[in-house]
Amino acid sequence: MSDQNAQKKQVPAIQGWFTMPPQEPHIIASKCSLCKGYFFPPAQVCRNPNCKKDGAMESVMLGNKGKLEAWSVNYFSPPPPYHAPDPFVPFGVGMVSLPEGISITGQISSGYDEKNLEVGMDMDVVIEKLYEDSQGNDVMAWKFKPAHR
Amino acid sequence: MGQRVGIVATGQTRYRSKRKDCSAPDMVYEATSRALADAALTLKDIDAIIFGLAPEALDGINSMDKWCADAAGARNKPFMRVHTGGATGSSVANAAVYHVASGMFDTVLAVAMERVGETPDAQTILNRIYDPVVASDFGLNIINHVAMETSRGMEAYGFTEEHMAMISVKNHLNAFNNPYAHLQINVSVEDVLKSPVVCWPLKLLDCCPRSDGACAVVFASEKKAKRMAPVPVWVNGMAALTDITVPGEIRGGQEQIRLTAARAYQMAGIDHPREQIQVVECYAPFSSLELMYYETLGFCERKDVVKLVESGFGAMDGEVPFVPSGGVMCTNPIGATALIRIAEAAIQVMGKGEKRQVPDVTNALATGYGGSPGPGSASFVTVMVLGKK
Repeated sequence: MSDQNAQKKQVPAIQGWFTMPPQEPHIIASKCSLCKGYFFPPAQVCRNPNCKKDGAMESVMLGNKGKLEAWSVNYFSPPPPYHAPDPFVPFGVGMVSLPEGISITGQISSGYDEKNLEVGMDMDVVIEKLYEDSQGNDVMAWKFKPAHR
Repeated sequence: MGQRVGIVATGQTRYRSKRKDCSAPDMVYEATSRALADAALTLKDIDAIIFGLAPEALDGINSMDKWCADAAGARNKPFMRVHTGGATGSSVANAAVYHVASGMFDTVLAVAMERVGETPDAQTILNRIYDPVVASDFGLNIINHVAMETSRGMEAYGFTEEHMAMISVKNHLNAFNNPYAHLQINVSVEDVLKSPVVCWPLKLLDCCPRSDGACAVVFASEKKAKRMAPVPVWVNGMAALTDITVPGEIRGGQEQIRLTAARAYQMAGIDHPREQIQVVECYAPFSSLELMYYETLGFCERKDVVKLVESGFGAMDGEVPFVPSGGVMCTNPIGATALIRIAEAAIQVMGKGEKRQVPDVTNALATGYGGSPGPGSASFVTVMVLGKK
């Protein structure tokens, strides 16, 4: 048992979109040095059609405190390719506006549903487990968690 | 807009969860032949065919358009397929209008179909259209996106789950008057509220079904339309736009609908929709979307939406009936769904609506919406204003 735990790794759901523990939790975006636009997922080339696109793209960590703009609780088990646990556990989803003016969607930490979620509430960006992959690794990504500020 | 274009005929199949009695081309033949019969036309009258089919994975066969071309009467005629997701049907209609308005074709058949009964699980297909990372790892999908738009709408408009249920009850009641409607079931507000939660606040009875079926509409030049139909229905205004989803943003189409409607209204000379439009066939697969359309289509201010729902504004005996056909919530053969909106709006102007006919229709509105709200992906919005004059 302890051997298995020792081998259990945390792997990011996708490389380079967010920081991994033990770093501070942040979502990583790109910023165009010319039009100053933020892009997420990170972009190699500026995606603003009105930008000349010859500026460099800079990698930036977005602020990790935001506000909940919209949310839902998913009560049906999405079919594959979603990695649903068996038995299925309902999960919250939300859109959170971050200080840079960009809004990101993602899951909400477990334990929150229509009884305690509200549009406008303060949210923290956290990096948590999404599911366990076939090798037994914890697949990690950002989630949003109601904050007490 | 170039040459004036009119609708002269419509044809629909009965919509069901699975049409076991016939093949996909048979459904296209059924809708096409009914449309031709509607204005006593023959295939000789048709110059070109625009065909609509949404993601073919839904139909369980590749290149269904090739299998259906003959049934649509395309032999020795120009034929093309149009596909803009849920907006496929209205994009098909737009392409047909462009064909006629250009002056190159006099009479064009628009026909669209879907055979969703062939897929074991439509949601699996739709999830694979979504961004692979967000769909597979995060479980974000079209339904919870609409649910998020709804939670934001509840905050902004002040409507409740009960108001959404009232829209659902109205639409299910309307479907009984439509001989083609897929779901014809008695539903009460309590039934909707007690139905299983799909994605809060959307319950099962707030959501559309998936259907098999086909719809056909014949568009003609002004000269031909006047000869072909006793009451030609004029395409007086139309607009379409493409909305690119900024990563992380949710899209329910409300702001895009507002912009598209404004463009179509300007073309049609509509400046007071509530006084000038008598019936609306909006593309609302979820109850909450229809409710928000009251505002974004220009029928009231945001603060009045709840009042309008409570007073039965959109009911058959209300001030402006919304979806007398029962709408997308009762019938949803995906590629055909938005063309059904246009066919049903045209039927209302022609006065052929029988039990679902709204009295004294001079202007009718049809909308379409489709695509994928995944990051960086596109959604498509259409609005068409049809008139007797």
